[in-house]
Parts: sequence; C-alpha cells; structure tokens
Amino acid sequence: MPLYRLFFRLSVFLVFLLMVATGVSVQAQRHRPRLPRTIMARPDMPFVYFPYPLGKKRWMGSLGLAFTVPPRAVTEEFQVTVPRSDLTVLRGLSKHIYLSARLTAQGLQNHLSIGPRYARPVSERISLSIGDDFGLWGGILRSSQFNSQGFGLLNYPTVSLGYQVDPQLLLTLKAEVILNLYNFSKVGQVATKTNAMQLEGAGVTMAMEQPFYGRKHVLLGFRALYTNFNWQFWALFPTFDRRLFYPELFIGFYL
Amino acid sequence: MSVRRYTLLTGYILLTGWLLGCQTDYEKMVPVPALRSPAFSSPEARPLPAPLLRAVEGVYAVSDGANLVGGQVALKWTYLIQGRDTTHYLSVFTGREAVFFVLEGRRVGNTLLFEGYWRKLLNTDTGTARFTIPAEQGGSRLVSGEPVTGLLPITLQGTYSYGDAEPVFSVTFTYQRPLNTRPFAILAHRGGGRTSDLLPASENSVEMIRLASRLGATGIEIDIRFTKDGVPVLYHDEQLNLRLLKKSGLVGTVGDYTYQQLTTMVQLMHGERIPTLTEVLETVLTQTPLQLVWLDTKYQGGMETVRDIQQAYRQKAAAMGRKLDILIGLPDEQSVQQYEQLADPSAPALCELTVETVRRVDASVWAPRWTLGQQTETIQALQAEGRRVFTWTLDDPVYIEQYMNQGRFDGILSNYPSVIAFYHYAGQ
Repeated sequence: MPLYRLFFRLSVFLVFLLMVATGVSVQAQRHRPRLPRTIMARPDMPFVYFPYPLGKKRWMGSLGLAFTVPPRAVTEEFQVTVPRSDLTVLRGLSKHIYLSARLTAQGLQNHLSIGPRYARPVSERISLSIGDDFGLWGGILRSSQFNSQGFGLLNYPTVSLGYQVDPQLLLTLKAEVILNLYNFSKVGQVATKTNAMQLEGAGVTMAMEQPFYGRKHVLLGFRALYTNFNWQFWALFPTFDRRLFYPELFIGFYL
Repeated sequence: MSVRRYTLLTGYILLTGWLLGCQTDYEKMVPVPALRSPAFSSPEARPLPAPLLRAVEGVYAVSDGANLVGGQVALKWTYLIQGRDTTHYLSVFTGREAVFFVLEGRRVGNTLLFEGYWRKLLNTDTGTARFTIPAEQGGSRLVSGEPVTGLLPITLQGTYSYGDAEPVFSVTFTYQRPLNTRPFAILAHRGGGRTSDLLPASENSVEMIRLASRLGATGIEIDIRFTKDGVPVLYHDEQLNLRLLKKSGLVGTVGDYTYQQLTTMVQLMHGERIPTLTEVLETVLTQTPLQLVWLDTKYQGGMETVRDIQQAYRQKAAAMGRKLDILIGLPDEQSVQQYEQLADPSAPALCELTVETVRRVDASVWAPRWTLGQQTETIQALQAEGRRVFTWTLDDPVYIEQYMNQGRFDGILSNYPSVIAFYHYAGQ
C-alpha cells in the first residue's frame, strides 16, 4: 500500500476524532463550570492509555482483546485474525512516574511489555508522557508440520499525547519506535539467534477511553505498525526486510 | 450514554474498518534496472564462446563490495533459448540478504565485459552492475583457453549502483576454486519466486519460469489447478484475488471459469496470462536448463490428466536427451488417494506426508516441511532405499546456511534459490 494513502487515511481519522471531540467538548462546557486554566482535572474515569499522572501506589487496569490483520505478503491468501487476550496494568510509583505493563497472549503469540512512564499535564486539556517499554515475546508450535519455538526481546521508546475532551472522554495519540534487541528460534535441533540492536520500524496508536454502558467504561484503540519484524508472526519465519503495515485493533474494559 | 458518544463510538468503529481497508492495495514490482554501455553494444563486442563461459564459473573471494555481497560469491552461467537465439547469463550468488547479480557477457579483444543488474530479494534494493576481466588479469588467458587456476588468478573488477544510475561503487571478485559439483536440487518456489518478493514476473507464470535458472534454480515447484473445462493451469490460491491478479471483476475459483474465459479476462499481477501445464512443461523443456518440475497438487480429481501430461513430457525429454524429472506432488491424504487410484501408479511422485505413506505409494521423493527439523536419521534411511529427500519452503538465510552445512537433504525448495545456490556451489 502506498505510504501516502495510509497517511491520508490516518489524517482523516485523526481529524474526525478531533472534530467530534471538539463538538463533545463544547457540549460538555455548556453543562459544567470552566476548569482553571493550565491545570487539567483528573479524569473522572479509569484510564490506561491516557498519559496522566497516576499517583503513588495507585493501580489501574483493563482486560480485553486485540486483533491484528496480517499483511498479505506474510500470510498470503490466509487472512485469519486470531484474537489475543489483552491485559494492561498501570502501577503508580511517584506523583508523575508509573509503570505500564501489557500482556497479550493466545498460546502461539505471546508478548509481555513493561516499562516506566513519566506523565505530566501541560494545559487544561493536554497531557504528555514519555516512556520506554521492554517487550518479551515467545511461543512454541508443535504439530505434524511444525517443531518450532522462538522468543525475543524488543524495546519500545514511546511518546503519548493526551487530549481530555471532558473528564469522561479521553483521546490519546501514542507514537513508538520498535527496536529489536534479541531473537532466538529453534527448529528441531537447529537454533539461531541474533543479538544486534536493530531498528525495525515505528507505530502510531490512537486510543479512545469513554463511558460504555451504565457505569462501565471502554477502551477502544487502533495501532498502526510499520515494521520489518512483527513478533506475532514468528512461526512463519518471514524474511522481508521491508516495512510492512500491521493494523491492530483492541478493545478493553477496566478492572 | 449520550447520543453524541454513540455517534463517536460508531464513527470510530466505521473509520477503523475503513483504515483497515487499506490492505487491498499491493506493492509494485521492483523494476529491473537497464544498463548498456557503448563498449558493450559496439560491433567489436562479441559473444563469449562456450569454453570461456565455463572457465569463468567458480567461487570467488570478494575484496571491494563485501558490504553488499559478503566475503565470497559463486559465479554460474545459465541460459535461455528463445526461438533461434540462446542468451547466456552469468549469475552471481551471495550469502548476504539474498543478493544476486544477473549479467550478460561480451569479449572486446582480450578483455571480457559483463553488464547487468543486482537485486536484494529481502527488500527492494536493486541497481546496475558492470564488470571487466582485463587482459592482464586473466582476460588473455581465458580468451586463449589456458586454465584459470595458477599463480595469476582471474579477477573481475566492477562497479555497481543503486537504481538506474551509472555504477560507481567498487566491487572486486578474485577466483578461488571451482564450483561444488555434488548433485543437489535447488528448487524455486512457484516457478521461480513469489509475487510478494516483487520480482519482475508473476509467480507461476511462464515468464517467471524463464527467469528461474538465473535466480539459481535447477528445478521448480508449480501449483496445478483445473479450469471448469478440465484444463490444468498454474495458479496457487483457492480464490481469484488481487494478491495474484490484476483487477478483472471476476470472483470465485479457477474452477468456476473455462480456460478461454480465464485467458481473455484475467491477467496475472504483471500482465501475464495464467499458463497451462502443457505450455509450462514445453517452456521448461525447450527453453531452460531446468532439470526438475514438482507439480504441486491443488486440485481434486483429474490426476489422470496430469499423469498423462507428465508421461508425455518425460518421454519427450528422453527423446531429446534432456534430463528432466517431473514429479506429481502429494501434499495430503486426498491427493494420495487419487494417486493410488491411478491405473499406472508408477508415475514418479513426491510425497509430503509421513515416511510410511512415502513407502506405501513408493514415492521417489519425500518432502517434509523444513519446520520439522533436519531429521537426519530418517533421511538417511530413505536415501538408503534409493529415495531422495527435499525440504520446503526454507527462506530464512540463517537456517538455509545451517541446513546446507549440516543437513542431509538432496534438495531444498525456497523462494530464494539464489541463497541455496550460493551455499551449494560455494560448499566444499
């Protein structure tokens, strides 16, 4: 797919979110007193993507599902998307620093990432965070056609920009870089490993956190990855050294 | 929840679906860069005679240009016959990131010229390349027919570029030793390579099969399906789709259309027709040096037709004095049952199932998936019975090196036959 077309669609997507968010914001301001400028009110709902200081020793979490659409270059005619469980947990370490951990698993494709975030509101509605996650992926595939296993270590420096439409509607745009630190795979008795740090690609995540039904809240996200290597498809041993597009959808409910 | 939030939620879901819809577009093929210098095209530039071609083949050490091709390369000639013309190509196989060169050669006096292109199959890097063997660095001896081994080894001095630019980056190959001549089947997937590797021809096309030996293949695997009117053709996927075809408006399977309908309404990704099995075997036999064709069975019913075509072309090859193995692939139990129901079950076959099934149907080749490991003891047992063992479809260059160095296979099927070719020909 041409890169410009993806950027066009991402831009339209973003503009849509901002337009609706602005509309919601105007609506919300009619019904509540204006907040003091430069200080963002704490979201009146749980959140796991929104880059806001969690507070020392506080927990936050969500549980849901993640779906990745495989590129046709890798899976060809088989466009099967197998959902993975998706657990995200935050733990406050200090006023502005918290740990973020995400576990996505489904047996064959498993990934745990964990890393610190520094978050700070910068205006009445905007909050920022920076972070650095280490990801460990792994899987085992044994069947009549496979006798394979693999695991590896990745690193994801991240920057997040949050826009608080109102205390119950949070939009987050997160950018990340994907660095491959270590790969190990074994087929039968033959094993290979690589341990040179390599830039694999980058990703953008757009997440929306809002009320869902009654007192429940929902997390909806879309993650667009452009990467040479995607741990999810380790069992296919793809060899492409060119950035392929991996769209990922996720939905979560707060714990 | 307010109506506005429902609107936001619905819009988010719809737009995400629209964004995912981006996937229907595909990357374009990597064009082959063109290069022809005045010296190469001049009337003084003459084709290289056959003995000289063979003398240039060998394993070469790399001094300049190792960042592109690694420390060693293997040079091997191949050819393509079209009508009365035979074109010889010098392929350079490397062990680094599936880089290969395809060159044509000329002689100007006692200097040998080679020009062509290179491509890195793991990504889309490509460019032009130009080499010479100067008279004083082996050219004179090669032209005079002297042996190439000795105190003054031949040296290819060259340059390469990125894209269509004039080549400027230096590369130098120095002759080390002859190519490994141990029999080994270098099998190219889908006639030569996948469409997704952005090669200049579509997978399972006649054009790809003509290209296969330049990519290093000594044999090919092709996918057979039947049209509605019973013509065996080459097509991999279950459905007609935009992964393999240009937009045509047709939906369904190959079996939903007659051969005439497919040839008039459908074009492969790079504009080629879907070829018939007969057309492809004719091409292999009369235009290429390929020695093995693996007919992968993607059909139900009709194996008699395939067997008849197989027999006809085996006889034709024998009559021409050409070595050509044509194997009926048996990838699953259904195809094994079809094979066992043939009136003449002695048709050479390649079985991907268990060793017991291989013995039951007396397949001449066992073909386990590479992800099962090297299985050395089982392979040796089958080889002792006079069978060969090929593994498929191994593309990872690191695993290729290990399988070539440690494995006991008689052949490897790959989308990167150039990498297999490097490790085979450079092996000692």
